[in-house]
Amino acid sequence: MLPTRANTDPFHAVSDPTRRALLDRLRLGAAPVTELAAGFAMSRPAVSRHLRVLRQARLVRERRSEHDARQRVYQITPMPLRDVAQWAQSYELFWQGGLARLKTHVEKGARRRAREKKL
Amino acid sequence: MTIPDRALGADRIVRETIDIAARPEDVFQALTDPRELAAWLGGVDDFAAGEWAPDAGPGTSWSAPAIAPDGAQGLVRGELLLVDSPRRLVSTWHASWDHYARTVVRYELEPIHVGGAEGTRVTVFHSAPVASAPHASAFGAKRDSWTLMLARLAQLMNERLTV
Repeated sequence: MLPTRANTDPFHAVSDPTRRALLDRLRLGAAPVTELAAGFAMSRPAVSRHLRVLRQARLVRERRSEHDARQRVYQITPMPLRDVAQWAQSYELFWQGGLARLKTHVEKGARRRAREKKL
Repeated sequence: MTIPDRALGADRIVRETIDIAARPEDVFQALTDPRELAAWLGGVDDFAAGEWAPDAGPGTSWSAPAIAPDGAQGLVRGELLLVDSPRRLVSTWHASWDHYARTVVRYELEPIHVGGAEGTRVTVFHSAPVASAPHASAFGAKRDSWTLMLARLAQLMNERLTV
């Protein structure tokens, strides 16, 4: 079965706080699912499902542990996040500019009302 | 009807805050009045509004000129999801420069004191284009900082690229 678009979309993958936390943990280094699951108040199958979404979006990959060939570890592959990071960065700039204009606009109106009140 | 928090932009990516020396009521009006919205969001002072009344409540469609991130004149369309005057406003947000992809913007207004006078802390949360919202995770959903995490990941990517 081919994954649907939503399943391979990095925006979809990082829309969930648990998956963001998993990525944040994997940033520190590769880890087996048991270790990842220990850090969350959820079952191992639940963590595995989140890891599957991250794998489908190519944000993590599964490989054999260097220390124990029987064990599988997850490793972060953050390249697809570039699109997400660029999107976020453009809107950060957008809102910094937008909120500054909102402030100027509203404070101008507040000063005008204050003057009118005095008259 | 209770709208799930997720639909209201719980999964925000961008978060920006500013303190304004005006009452929350005045700020809320600037977010919802078509002419005021056009003035600060789009830099357009003579916007011929009148087709939409944003205080009509959830379901209301609106549109306004907006200055795009690259400085060009753009347009934003949306549908109000939650109107809680003068504290919260949540709307879908479809920007022309973003191919009108569905994103969600949530404003939170908090009364503060600015120099002994009434003021407002405005925080805007902007969530990413998500084709289909997944089921809310009941676990581990501790507050995280998108911006921080993305900054760290971007750093990691740069390190990988330069190695």
